[in-house]
Amino acid sequence: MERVERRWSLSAQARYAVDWIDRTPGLVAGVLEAHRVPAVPHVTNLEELRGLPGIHAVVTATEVPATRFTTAGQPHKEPSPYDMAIINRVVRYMGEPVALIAAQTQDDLRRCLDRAIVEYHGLDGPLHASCPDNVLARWSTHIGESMGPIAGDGTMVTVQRQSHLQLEPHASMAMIEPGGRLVLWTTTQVPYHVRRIVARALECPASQIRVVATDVGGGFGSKQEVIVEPWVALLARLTGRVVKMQLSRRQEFLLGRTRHSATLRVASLWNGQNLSAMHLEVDVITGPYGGHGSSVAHNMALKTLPFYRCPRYEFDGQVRYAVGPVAGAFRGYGGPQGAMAVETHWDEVARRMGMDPAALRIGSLMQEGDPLDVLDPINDRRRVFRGDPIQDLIQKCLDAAEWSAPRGLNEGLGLALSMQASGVPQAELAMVRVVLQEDGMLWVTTGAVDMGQGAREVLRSIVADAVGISPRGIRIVPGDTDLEAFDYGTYASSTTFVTGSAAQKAAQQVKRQLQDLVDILPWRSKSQGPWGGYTIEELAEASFYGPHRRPVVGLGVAAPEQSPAPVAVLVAHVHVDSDIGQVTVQRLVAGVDVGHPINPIAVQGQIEGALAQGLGYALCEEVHVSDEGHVLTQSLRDYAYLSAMEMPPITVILTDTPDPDGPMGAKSAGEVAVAPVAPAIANAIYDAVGVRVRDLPITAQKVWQQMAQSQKSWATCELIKQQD
Amino acid sequence: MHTHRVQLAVNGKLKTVTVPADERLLDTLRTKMDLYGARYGCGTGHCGACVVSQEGVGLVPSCLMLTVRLDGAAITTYEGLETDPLMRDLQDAFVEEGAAQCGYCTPGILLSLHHVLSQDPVDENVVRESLVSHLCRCTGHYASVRAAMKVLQRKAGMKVAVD
Amino acid sequence: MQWIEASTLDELQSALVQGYRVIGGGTGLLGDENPVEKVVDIRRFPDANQIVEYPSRWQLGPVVTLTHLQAWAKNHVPGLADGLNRLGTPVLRNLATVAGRLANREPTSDLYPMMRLLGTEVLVMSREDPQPRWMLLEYEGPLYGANRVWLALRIPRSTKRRRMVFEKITKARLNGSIVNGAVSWQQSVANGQIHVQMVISGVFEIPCHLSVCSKPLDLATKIRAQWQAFQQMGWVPIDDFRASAAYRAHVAGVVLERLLKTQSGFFESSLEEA
Repeated sequence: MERVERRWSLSAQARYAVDWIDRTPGLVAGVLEAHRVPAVPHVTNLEELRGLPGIHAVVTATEVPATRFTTAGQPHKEPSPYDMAIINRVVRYMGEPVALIAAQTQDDLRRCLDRAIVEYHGLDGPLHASCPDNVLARWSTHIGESMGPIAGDGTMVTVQRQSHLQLEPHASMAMIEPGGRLVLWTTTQVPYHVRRIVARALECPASQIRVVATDVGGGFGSKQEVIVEPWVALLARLTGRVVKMQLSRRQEFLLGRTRHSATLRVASLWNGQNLSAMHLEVDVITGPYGGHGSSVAHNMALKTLPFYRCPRYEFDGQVRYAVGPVAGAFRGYGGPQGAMAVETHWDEVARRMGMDPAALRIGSLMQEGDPLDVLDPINDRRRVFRGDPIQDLIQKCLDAAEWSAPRGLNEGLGLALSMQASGVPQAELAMVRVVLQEDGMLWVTTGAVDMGQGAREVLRSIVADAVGISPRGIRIVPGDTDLEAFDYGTYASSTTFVTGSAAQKAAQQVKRQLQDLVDILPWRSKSQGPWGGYTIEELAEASFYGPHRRPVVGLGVAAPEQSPAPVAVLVAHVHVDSDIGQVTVQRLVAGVDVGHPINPIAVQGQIEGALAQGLGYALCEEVHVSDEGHVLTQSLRDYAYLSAMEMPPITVILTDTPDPDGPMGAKSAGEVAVAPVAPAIANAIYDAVGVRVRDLPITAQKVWQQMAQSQKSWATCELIKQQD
Repeated sequence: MHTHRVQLAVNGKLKTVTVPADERLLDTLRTKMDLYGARYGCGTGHCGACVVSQEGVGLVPSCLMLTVRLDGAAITTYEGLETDPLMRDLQDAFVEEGAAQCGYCTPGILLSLHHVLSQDPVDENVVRESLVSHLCRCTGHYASVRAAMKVLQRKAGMKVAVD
Repeated sequence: MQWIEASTLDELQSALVQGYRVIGGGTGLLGDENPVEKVVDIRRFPDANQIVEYPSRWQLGPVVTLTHLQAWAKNHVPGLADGLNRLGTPVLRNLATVAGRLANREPTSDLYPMMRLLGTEVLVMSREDPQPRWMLLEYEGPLYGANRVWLALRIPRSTKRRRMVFEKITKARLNGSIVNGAVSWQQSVANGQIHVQMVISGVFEIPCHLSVCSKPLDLATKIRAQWQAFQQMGWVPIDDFRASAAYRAHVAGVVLERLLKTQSGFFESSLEEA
């Protein structure tokens, strides 16, 4: 495997947006942050602020374009409400811009922020006038014939807000180039969506904007949001200067996005050990703006229910506006929330039936050819499951984790499953351009982004494989919207499958053109190259300067109907300190079907990273918000995250079953392994000490509370013994 | 704004800068010396992305250090060690194990591993302890631990060979 | 921001009068986007970053770091060295000062219980009183405030005979500190009685101090009785997003039992010797 790209990832050269910002002179943009919400703010000394030295612009809500948009980086027309302007007349989350400021220096900016006087007129009633009950969406989808009411309360879980904690903060820089076009350097997963959304926000044509995506220092969905870009764009247009902005970590917690918090309930109807109906109900909090709310909510069902064959599926839900930080896309995208509910429920049902949780699952599992879109009865066969038999994968994991072995004291094992798509089904588009340069290098231009997941390396492998040349001869050119390689962007685990397919098609064209060129060239080479005697360099030269002057250009377009589902099986082995409820994860065994792993090391890295994020979600990570909407965890001092010392041993079992639709047989790999961690740990805790925590994160306190309630607490017993 | 003239050695080269009192070393390196290996991640010293080495002190978070206090100090950044043989070994192992994904935290982590592997004795626990200084959101540190252990084993192998 | 250096008491006194705040490691003072107007640097004070050995005490300068203390403790108070491993991260410990970690006190202080048990004293100078005075490290009292500066700390050498163990319970290893506890003990050569001291922080706004001197067999009972008395004094445990009041009180009890248990081995061996 070529290592050029990975060597680049060790580089200290200027390559992130923050580097561009630090090396480029320009104005510093800042946010006058709201301290009371929901409210209508009024800056009482606006003219004074504008007159301060070093202040180039102070913009408030009344002076921004009226057009509303969503920051959710989704394809047009987004399934997210257009519920915000660049600056809103009503502020709805703490830290939301009351005004945007462009200053000469950080000091000028700080002085201006210190001097600002803001009066707030507090608002009662709904957050958005268009939603009187704060409910953004509500639905009830029932598929299949009813077998009667589903008795019992089922399993109720609550899941928390999680911070992306991508290490590189949001950062963007804007300038007006001669001729009036706006150029935006930014750290983003979605350059083309940024272009379109900023164009809408500024009320200008998309062609008037060029977005240059820099290297991305961690995304995980946080940079599928268009947060800072419209702000610097507006200020650049107003001042005509280079304007740059980088969020602080505190601002990341306040102005960034979180995983959607939610309450979920699962119930099921059984005929003996046969599943007759499954019911999932979700109540999703999207924060004060609705980005991704409905799509994340629906994914809670789409990534969980198809696992289990069942004649009737019921999915009810609502998405609600609420104070607190804005929720958004986050690796797993509904999967972690859904899996926590459904996979906990299966464990509970199995225990109630006196069955092995693995055996109960295996009896109902989705098989090859089963529908994936179970909630869409008309098109439910459009996408079907293909892959390694899931029961085999489960068995491998159970064996590796010694599922049948006796448990140690306060030790337990738990199982959970998860699935993902490979790109948003029927909503992906990627263009990839592969052009043979005159020196023999193949340039692969894409609108996708490498945010560490290894997109460059994978695209390089796919092109090298399809053309039949060394990966060394390929250069990947990502993320510049002026280079005409339209792409929906890097999210929904799409890059390998969707952009990879486009790259494969473009590369196949290139290969055909190269062969054609060989056939028509009048002279013979003496170099004995692999192309009918020619080297790629000779062909490259001939393509531009030979008698036929026929450049080799491939343009691949992928708009896949399919979106194959990778599957993850996880067995967690935990120990519970029964005195205080502290959970120690002793080992994770993950079985993952990603089709054919093109780059096994990168896939391993994706799985490990996803599991680590799932562990934090399961055990400690939570953005705490006060009733007034203040974020209480504003720094890494307060936001609990796991350190290197707390990472348990991991065993990853990768299958290799090529998918018929994927490039080189690949399915996606980036997100699938986040979701099963929390339910597997919850189930393992039940196995260990007989209590069930249905409220994430599973802190020691919650385990202890449950143990105390269930009167099984070892500590309590000891205390009684001592008193005797 | 009151400024101060500060002379410090960075990667073995003597530099003189004029800085306001509240300028952090991180910003001095990035805006005045074109050194981008130290990066802002949290601003409170917890994430380790901005780590540099100060002679006589050890590894420190440059986001919490006032440049004005460093008159006469000697600082080594990631860039200053890029050609160091142990650092090259670590980089190779990082590439082999895929220990750098987005790469943002990588220079800081490599500095810590370089520091810890220069000591004796080292085991996996010591390596992990040193990584507590760093937040790596992409990898969960698995690959960096593997890479460090690989370098350690190679070193041990060479020692045996020499003996 | 204004930054000045002081290397004499007079300079420092004058800075304090002008409202300067003392900067040590800066880890507490220079947080993210945390502008400070005026700081005075005291690292040029004689022996500011030294641990100096005197016949009756070890003296720590005001900018001695946690790493430095840890290296020293390995040879003198191993329990302290182990405990310091749980404070912050290796990189932060290289910068954070002992004085700063103690002077910026928090209810969940982790260093305080250990340093308190070592009998640490603090040399304090105030804006009002330029004469530095030694005071016993206490969580409350006249040590603190923006108009105070800590010029040195000292640990009595008698500490060498004491043993100490530290326990820290957190939400995640690095953050979300819930309860910290330390215990130290020492056996009297004269009468075989054991002197046990415990400090538990994180439960109440003020750390709890427990102290018992008795025969080994009665120790646990007496300590538990003191802890019960604490809980019945009507102090309200801290209740925040890190942990509930009830959980804190429970965990403190567990920490206490564990700390007692870690000593039992020592007691048994000393009983055998006796």
